[in-house]
Amino acid sequence: MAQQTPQSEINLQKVLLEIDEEVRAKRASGELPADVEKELDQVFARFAPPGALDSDFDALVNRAERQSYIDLLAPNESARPGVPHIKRVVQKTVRWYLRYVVDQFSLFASSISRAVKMLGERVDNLEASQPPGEIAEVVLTALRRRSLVWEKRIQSHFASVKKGRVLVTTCGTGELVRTLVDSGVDAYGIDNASELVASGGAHGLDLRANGEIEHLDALNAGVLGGLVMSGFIDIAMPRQQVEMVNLAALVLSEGAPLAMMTTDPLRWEMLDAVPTDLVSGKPLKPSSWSYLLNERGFKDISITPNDDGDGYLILAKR
Amino acid sequence: MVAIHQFVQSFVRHDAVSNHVRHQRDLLREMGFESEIFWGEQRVDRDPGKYFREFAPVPGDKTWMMYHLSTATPLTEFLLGCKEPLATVFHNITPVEMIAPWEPIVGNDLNNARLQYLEIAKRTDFAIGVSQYNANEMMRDGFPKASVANVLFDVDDYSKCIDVKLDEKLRTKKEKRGSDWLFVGRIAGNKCQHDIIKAFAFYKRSFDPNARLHLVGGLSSHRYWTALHDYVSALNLTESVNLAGGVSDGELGAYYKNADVFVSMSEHEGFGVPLLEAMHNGLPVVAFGGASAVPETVGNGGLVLGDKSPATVAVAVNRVLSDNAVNKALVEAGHQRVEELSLAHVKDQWRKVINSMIESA
Repeated sequence: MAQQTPQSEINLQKVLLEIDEEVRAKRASGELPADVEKELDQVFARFAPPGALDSDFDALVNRAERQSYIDLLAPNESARPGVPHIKRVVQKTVRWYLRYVVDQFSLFASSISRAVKMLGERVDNLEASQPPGEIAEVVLTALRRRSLVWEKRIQSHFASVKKGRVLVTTCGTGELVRTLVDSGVDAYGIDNASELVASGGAHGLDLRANGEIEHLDALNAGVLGGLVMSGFIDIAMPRQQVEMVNLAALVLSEGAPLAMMTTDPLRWEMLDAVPTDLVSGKPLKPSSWSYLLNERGFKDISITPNDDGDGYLILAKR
Repeated sequence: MVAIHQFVQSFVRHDAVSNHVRHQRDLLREMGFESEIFWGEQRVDRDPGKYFREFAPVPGDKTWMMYHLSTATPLTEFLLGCKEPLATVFHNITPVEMIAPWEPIVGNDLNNARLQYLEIAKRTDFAIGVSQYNANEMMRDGFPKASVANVLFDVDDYSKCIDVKLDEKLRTKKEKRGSDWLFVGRIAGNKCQHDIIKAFAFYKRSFDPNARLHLVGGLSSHRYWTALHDYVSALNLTESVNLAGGVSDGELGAYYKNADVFVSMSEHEGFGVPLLEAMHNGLPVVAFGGASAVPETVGNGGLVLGDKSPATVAVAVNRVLSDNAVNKALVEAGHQRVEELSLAHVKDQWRKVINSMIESA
């Protein structure tokens, strides 16, 4: 039976947060077992054609390889009398022709799937030669600490946000999210480091374990009331840095504030020479960020160096 | 005299684009424009329109061609060859990758539709998306700055009579306990009915062992339909999942009447009329937002989830069905959302867009 909730007005955003919280708690307690979810996925995967689901690469290629061999024997059953016999006769008659065509097609398909498999192995080798993820984490840890020097400026830049949520990327344990929430802004954060997010989330903040580009890409146009970008933007590859600006332009509502905390590329290696050398991307010059923002239609762009002279705060409006 | 004639590939019954085109023709005439519907194929006896090759602009009249784009069609070549200014209304095209693994031939059609869409972009003088999502896509793909005006949706088009026999059958089952989930939409890979079954299985196991799920909608993919059947059997849910397929108006009315919640896991919607239809029928809506127009169509009229994991969907549905206040608020919010997108209100959006289209010439 349905229970009565004493409130007459319902805040749907709050309900959604409560649902997230309930899922988290029930998953943690084992009441909603993750293996059942996985099993449900696996059962459907048995019936789906290759490419229909987000399966892992190796599974997909193996499946394609299996399916490259075409069965010449079509089912002959029929409820109507005599039809199975006719089907068998037709099958026998055209078999020589079908075999000729199917042999060629099977050869083509299996060559392609073999080539894709080899390509996959090459990509694996290439990925294995990249610096390990821990290197990026060392740099990000340093960058997260530095973001707090801009606390006050960011607070005042986002004070005017009345509509839409403010997203803080690479939020760590959520110190900056806390600052914004305490000043009355509806802020939430994302960070790839799930253990940091979990520790911040335990203190009542809405922090989610999610990649920066992945999260921005999943948002709808104009949905955010503000955006703070730091950390990842300094270590992302150039293509990803441009993509971050493009996505920011798409997801921010008209007039919404944007803040970017970046590192001076000239002082980059002073952070910690080995990891900053090995990480995949490097920070852009503030003038390059300004150029990209201007190109994507951002207004009121300002660049302020920090007191230590090793970083910048870039403010803009959508 | 200014004429604004509409062009649409399929002008058929029970189709959101066709209903929209009909309402828009009425609106254009109300606004004092001469307006006809030209189609590539039609199956609407009471409102026939004309075959597109019969189009002949009156010399001296200012004539706009308004093309409703949603599929591959021979109309494209015809429109590219005409001289009249062209307004394109984009209802969206299902992404190929969502359909092609299930239906390679349909996937090829969708590929062609995308190519035609890019050709039409170069020829378009005025662009309109039926959602902001569609408008953004148009601008990204080279159309001129796109205006937004939603789908013209009249609740009367969707007010159903009730099939008494089915109503009684559903009611009898309901009296025995258990909640009823409903989804209405074509059986197609992008509608992700398998994700609804997945979430339903999880819900049944965790919250309500007597629950039932009804999946209503005509077949767009036989292979997907077969996979859904096999999936339901493999999960031992044949007694509680009803793959109803295409139904009559009266049967649809009975399903709406007896359902407790409308659940959508669709991954691609250019607008999403069934969501509004469900709200109009007083059902709380739980929908996956994803990368589609679902969040802007639902607005504050339903629960839009950012995650479609079975656990999240099951917990959300359980909350909606077990908390009276949330349930009531969602039903009320749904009615309000339908009012916001009522024919009268959306006609106002279109009046503004059409006036700026005329001024742009």
